[in-house]
Amino acid sequence: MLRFVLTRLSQMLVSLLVITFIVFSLSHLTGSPIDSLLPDDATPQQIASLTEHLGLDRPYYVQYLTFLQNAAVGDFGDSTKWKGSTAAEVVLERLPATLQLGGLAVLISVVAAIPMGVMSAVRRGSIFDRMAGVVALLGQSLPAFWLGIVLMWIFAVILGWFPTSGYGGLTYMILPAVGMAWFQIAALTRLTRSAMLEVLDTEYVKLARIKGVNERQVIWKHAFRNAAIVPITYFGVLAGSLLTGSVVMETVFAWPGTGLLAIDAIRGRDFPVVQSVVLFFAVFYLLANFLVDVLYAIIDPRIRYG
Amino acid sequence: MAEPVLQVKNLRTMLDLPGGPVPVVDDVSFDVGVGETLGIVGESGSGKSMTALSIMQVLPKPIGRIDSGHILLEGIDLVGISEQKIRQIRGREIGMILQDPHTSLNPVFNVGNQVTEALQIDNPGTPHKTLLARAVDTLKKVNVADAERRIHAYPHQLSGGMKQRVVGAIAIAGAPKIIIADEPTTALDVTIQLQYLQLLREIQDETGTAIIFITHDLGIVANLCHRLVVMYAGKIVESGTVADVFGAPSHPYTEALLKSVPSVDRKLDRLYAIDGQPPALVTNRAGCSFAPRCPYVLDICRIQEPLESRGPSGGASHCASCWNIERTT
Ligand SMILES: Nc1ncnc2c1ncn2[C@@H]1O[C@H](COP(=O)(O)OP(=O)(O)OP(=O)(O)O)[C@@H](O)[C@H]1O
Ligand SMILES: [Mg+2]
Repeated sequence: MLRFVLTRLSQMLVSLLVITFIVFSLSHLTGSPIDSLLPDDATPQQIASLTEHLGLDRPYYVQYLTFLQNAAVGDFGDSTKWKGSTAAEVVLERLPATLQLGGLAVLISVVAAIPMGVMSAVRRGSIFDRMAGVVALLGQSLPAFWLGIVLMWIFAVILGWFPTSGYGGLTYMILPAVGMAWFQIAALTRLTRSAMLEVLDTEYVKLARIKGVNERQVIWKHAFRNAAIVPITYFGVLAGSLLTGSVVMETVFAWPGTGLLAIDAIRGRDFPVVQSVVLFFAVFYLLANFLVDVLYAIIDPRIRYG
Repeated sequence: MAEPVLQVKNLRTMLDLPGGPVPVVDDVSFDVGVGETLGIVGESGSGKSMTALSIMQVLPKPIGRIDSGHILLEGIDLVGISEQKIRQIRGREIGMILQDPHTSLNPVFNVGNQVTEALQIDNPGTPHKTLLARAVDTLKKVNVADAERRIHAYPHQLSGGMKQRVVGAIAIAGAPKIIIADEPTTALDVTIQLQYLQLLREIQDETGTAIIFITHDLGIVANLCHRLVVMYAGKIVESGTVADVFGAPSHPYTEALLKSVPSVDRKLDRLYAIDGQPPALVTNRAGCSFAPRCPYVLDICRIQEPLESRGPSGGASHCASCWNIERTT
């Protein structure tokens, strides 16, 4: 188990290096930050001195190594848009909002989708199963921004149950979180259902019944424990798409998280902030997938001892 | 014979397939006595497993169902009783060994866990330590060497023969009155097969449990079973003691099955195979299902289903369903 964890960790480190290089390169492909930092009528001398000050005149690999060195200690330079703060400070300030919203969305997805997928499989062909199928279809065909707006319109504007937008407690979070979870519920339900159907058909589930194990344990202990590998694998993807989902929902509901920050930073060509946001997303994604691998090993002894 | 442990009477099991309901077990009746081993033979698809799963009531969900008939365990009918009651029967009164040891054990639980689970059903609330010790004892009964260590192993760490022993341990854990073994040795190497059959015999000698042994292998039947039933297309076509049936096979299908067993003293230069295919599943067929492949077929065979009649061996329990037992062609 320890060896397994160490192997995964070192693989993660390699991925991280590749990602930092891409992040570094990408931001330099979209044009020079000098243009947005200086007024249009800046003199060549002003441009040259700022270029030198930011190190943009040095060789590419030196710039990258410097970037890496600074990134290692969380230093991505000063934000160019939010004057007086470092990029890391800007991101850290927005982080809790995103984690709150993302966490709630994950919770809603799992709590809704797992039982729904399992019950659909157990009662295959029943009315419940067919209704869950419709929910899944709707979930996967509605675009997120449209859904966000419709949710806001129905539950905030017409019914007035929730505030329309802004930052605050649970009532502010529910609509955007449901909006983010929606698509995931659909995907996760379908995955869980098909994984369960497959497992329920196996000989070891048959043997569990033959032993006299009660139906609840047959389903949740014998079958789900095996079927769970599929939704757990998806959890890594889920974590990633909840971050991208957060960009849309944070925009629609004016939720001041990193998604909204990313949009603002890109619009304002705030390189340091864009870099730290993207890198944060990447690290988050890697961590989620690492967690998935560990869970995977905990569940399946063939991986643990493989 | 004293009262049989298990009596199956006119059992009919249907599968609701997309094309409509189809009988996979059709009017099957047999008895199994205390301490007796009954063989069920027949080619692939003849309904042997479906018969076993009907007795256990673990038919494939949601398509399988018992349509009619009775399954009497010591006189008590299991057909139509509640799910909760049948669960108390499973594992405790009737144990079962499945065909493929590689898929029968749950890959994510260790051996100890899977054996104690079977023990726990009989003794809820027993401390885990006691259960584990009993699991070790049970594994020793099925000749698992080094059982104290093996309870910590996961299925993927064991050989096929070892896994099938564990499945055997699960089957005997509840001290059942009858064990159904559905081709338990088909997936094993020949030497391991013999050991396993020997083991079943030892268990029977020790506990007096009855065994229903399902197989394609007539050699095993000859060695292990007291009586046998021959199934074809969901029906029993012949039944009797091993001596009677092997000595004077009365149904042409049994005869063909026996001929297709390769043997040393019968010098065939090619293996005998029964011509044609077993019939596809259909709802209603007229006449005898074996008629299209039968070398002794009469006109009546294609029109009317044969009645059961006494076999020529004269054995009291020897019966066959054939219009042409006397073989007039
Ligand atoms: N899940 C299922 N869905 C559809 N048909 C099935 C299913 N299970 C079994 N059958 C059909 O039921 C019939 C009886 O099958 P059964 O498994 O009882 O045969 P068997 O005698 O045990 O054969 P084998 O020797 O191959 O194990 C076969 O025609 C088979 O095709
Ligand atoms: Mg079978």
